[in-house]
Amino acid sequence: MKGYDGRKEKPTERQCFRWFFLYFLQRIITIIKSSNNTNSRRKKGMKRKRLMSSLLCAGLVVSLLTGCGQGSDKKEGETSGKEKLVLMLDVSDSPAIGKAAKMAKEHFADKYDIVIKEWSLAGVEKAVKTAAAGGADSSIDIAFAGNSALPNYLDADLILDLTPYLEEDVQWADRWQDGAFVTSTFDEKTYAVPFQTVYPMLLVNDDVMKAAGVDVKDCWTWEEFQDVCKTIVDKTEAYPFGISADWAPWLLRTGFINAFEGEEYDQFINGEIPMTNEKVKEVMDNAAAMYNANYCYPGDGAVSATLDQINAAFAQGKIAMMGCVNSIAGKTIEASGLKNVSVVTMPSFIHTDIDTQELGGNDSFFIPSNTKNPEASVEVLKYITGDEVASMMANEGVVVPQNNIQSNDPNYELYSKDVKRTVPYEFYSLSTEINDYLQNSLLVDYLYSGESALDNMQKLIDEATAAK
Amino acid sequence: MTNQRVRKLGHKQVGIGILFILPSFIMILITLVIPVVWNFVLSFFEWNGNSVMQFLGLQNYIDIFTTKTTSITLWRSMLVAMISTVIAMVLGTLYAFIIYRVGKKEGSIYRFIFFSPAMMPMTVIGVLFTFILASDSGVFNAVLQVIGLGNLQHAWLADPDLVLGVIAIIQGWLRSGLIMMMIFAAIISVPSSLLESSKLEGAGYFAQVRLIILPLIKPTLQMVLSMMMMWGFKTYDMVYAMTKGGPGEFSYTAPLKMMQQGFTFNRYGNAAALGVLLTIIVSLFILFARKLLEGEVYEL
Repeated sequence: MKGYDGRKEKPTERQCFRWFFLYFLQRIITIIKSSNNTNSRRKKGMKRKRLMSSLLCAGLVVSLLTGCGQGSDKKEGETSGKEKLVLMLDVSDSPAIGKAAKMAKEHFADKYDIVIKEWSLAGVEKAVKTAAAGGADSSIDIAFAGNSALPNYLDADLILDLTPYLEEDVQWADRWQDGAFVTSTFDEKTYAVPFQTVYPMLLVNDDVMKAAGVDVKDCWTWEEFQDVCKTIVDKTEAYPFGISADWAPWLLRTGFINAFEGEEYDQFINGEIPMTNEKVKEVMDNAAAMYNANYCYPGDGAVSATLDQINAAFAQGKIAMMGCVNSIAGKTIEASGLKNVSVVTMPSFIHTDIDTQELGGNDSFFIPSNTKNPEASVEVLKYITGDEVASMMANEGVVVPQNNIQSNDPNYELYSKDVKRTVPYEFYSLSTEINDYLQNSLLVDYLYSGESALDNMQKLIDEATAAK
Repeated sequence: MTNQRVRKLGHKQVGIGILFILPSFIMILITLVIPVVWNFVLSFFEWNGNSVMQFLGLQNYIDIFTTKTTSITLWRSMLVAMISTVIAMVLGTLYAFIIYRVGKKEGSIYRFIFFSPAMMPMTVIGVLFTFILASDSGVFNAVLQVIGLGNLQHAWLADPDLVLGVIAIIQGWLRSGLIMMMIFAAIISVPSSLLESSKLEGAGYFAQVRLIILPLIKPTLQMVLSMMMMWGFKTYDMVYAMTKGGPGEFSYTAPLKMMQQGFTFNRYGNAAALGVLLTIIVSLFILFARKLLEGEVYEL
């Protein structure tokens, strides 16, 4: 057998493993031979044990080799000239996004080896961050984020700055409507590109309203909305309002947006207005009143209602109005089986003299900063935000924040009617902790612990502003 | 002495022995030793997962005790562990003793029935119970209504005072099947001659259990108690599937808080410190529980 020196090339990892394996086999054969030469029964037993142990050890080595072999197989795509790209875009709630990923896979079939991973609200953060910890080899190349999730990735330096790419390709940057990048731009750098505009709306069961003798308006004021709720309770068996626990913070966020105007609103989102402010308290009280008056389905336990429970109750006529997102409103109505459903603007949750403003913003695609292939990722990103995919999305009912995109969905206008009311910047962007407390705890804490919830929020605001 | 032994065995044999141990040792090193040591080291640093680590000393530990929302999660984990352990141990032991008493065929059917929930994933059980305990359309409240106990109806998973207890009870019930199997296996290993002779002396089943079986299966009881404590403290999947830590953060246990600190707030050092504290608390509880059951151990 020739040694290493006799070879022109260095042995590969696989060759090394093979030799290691052969050495083990040789050792086992030697042991078998030596076991045949001994006559003692006791010694034979010992040898047999040793043989068994050797076989077990060999099994382990084979397992290791198999694992290593698989690892090297994965890289074969790269050596065949195709770069591997991982798109975390298979979103069960929004089939259009998954469809976009599949279109990209087909479009770049000859150029990139695209792998599509499932996205879940609970899992995406962990997946992106764990992949980042694994270095470039395990990177996710394009992922999807809600408009409030981006600061979290930014805090961990996990988002690629897309500003140079947008500046370089002005045609690409000009596709989007004015203000589309508001929620993905931080310190004048753009970190994500928007693909859908989302905002909350009310789905109204017209039959329940008819039974209550209430006329459905396109946009109720807060006072009108309270009257409608009371009338429904008085005249029907249905609950006036239903909203899942995950979306319940909308009541507060919509209230805050409508509580302040102009400069005062800017001060509020910068944390300069204390949580003890009368308007803040009014919003909190109004939202809490919806629960305390048992207007929210199912009364006791409404703070923990799941979306499935709300959807089921709406379909059964137990709820007159339910909170929903424009991007899934069509599918929710279809799934409910109800024939007479109206789409109404979410009320302001505080008295306001101006037109009701809506929380909302753009969900975006971003590229994690540890991507191995930034150029290739941007190329795919350009495709999935380009004409072909954007038109497909619009036809699927997604409200695309781009210029010149037409939809053949007859309800497209209905699900995008409040786009111009949306206010994309809110005070939660001050810190991830504020966002988390607002989204998960503020309302529940206020319901069960009263104003100490506002103290908790104030503490987080103080910490965030001090850090800035 | 060691050198003599090495000489006796021969360097070749020692080398082969080491070689045999090596694969397992590497596995344990990679999957257990390094992560534990790394977690301990990380608990003294500030690190967002992508930045340069900054040494903080004991600050992460101080933060845990001074931040009420974090320190309370340790207390909640203790509460869940205590309740679920008591329920699982009491139910599991009772099941085992009752099944031991019934005939072989009936016993195997009961064993299958009681053990089957333990075969299902925690998350499946969790989701199932969210339907059962739903305040409006849940089976449990409907049953209470039907049997005339409508005044006991609750929003079981939405009431901050009840939610942790409910989760702990379900977890205890779920684990009781496995505890039953382990205790049952220990009971059947008790020599029947001992039980027969005690019977001749006039001992009833209760006396046999108290005076013969329980003392003999004490090592098994100690082991299942330790295991149950560990599972109770680590409660994550059940809470996540049932409430996601809600309402608000009222059912956030320490493992959930660790995930939040690490993956949501990018405070991996703080999450690691919480993990170290949880490990210390679990170890202390297990030591205490084993001390409680300490006494004479009889060889079977």
